[in-house]
Amino acid sequence: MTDYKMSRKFNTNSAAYVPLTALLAWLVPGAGHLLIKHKKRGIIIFAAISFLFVLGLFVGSIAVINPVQDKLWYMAQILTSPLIAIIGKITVHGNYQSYGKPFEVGQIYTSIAGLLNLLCIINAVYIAYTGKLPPEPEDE
Amino acid sequence: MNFLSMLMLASFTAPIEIKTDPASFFWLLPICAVIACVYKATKLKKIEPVSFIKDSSLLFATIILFMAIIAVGIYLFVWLIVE
Repeated sequence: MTDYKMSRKFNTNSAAYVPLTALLAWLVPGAGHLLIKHKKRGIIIFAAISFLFVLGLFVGSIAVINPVQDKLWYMAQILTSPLIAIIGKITVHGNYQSYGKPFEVGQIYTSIAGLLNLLCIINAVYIAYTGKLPPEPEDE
Repeated sequence: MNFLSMLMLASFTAPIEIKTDPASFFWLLPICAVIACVYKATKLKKIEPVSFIKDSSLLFATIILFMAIIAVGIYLFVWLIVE
């Protein structure tokens, strides 16, 4: 059975299916795709976004996540997962310092990971709601 | 908590050293690779290892190529103004 048919079968089951997909996709990157039986997509998304986020933290340290001083960056970072708020809390109450290039790279990596996860959340919700993949530019 | 776990956690509490030299541009590569992979994972109709790697690599190369072209364009623009 193709991914398309499977997701369509699930689509008719419950009214909570689409919100649950969105919530899971936000909670753990790729989990939304796993729920709608797009296993390979889910694994790739999880691996790629987690890699980028962890690399960002490794380069710039957890100081790059600061909900008080860098609110706009934090808004993008928390799109990776609501669990990022835990790191934000640790950073605010701890004395973690990061400056210069490593800080910039870390902040960009973690924020882009969040924005990419937003793309994946929208993609998972679209598939869960319509039962098909979004059209590619050449299909439109 | 064992020593290895503590060492791993400690490596996330202090930033690594990145010099502000031309080599620091290589930090662009991981982010471009991840963007290419995630974009293709959401766009391809069927995920097959060979086609996925091929399409992602092509997108990755395209991003790098166009960024390089833009960089050369900006460099020439600045050179024309300064010289």
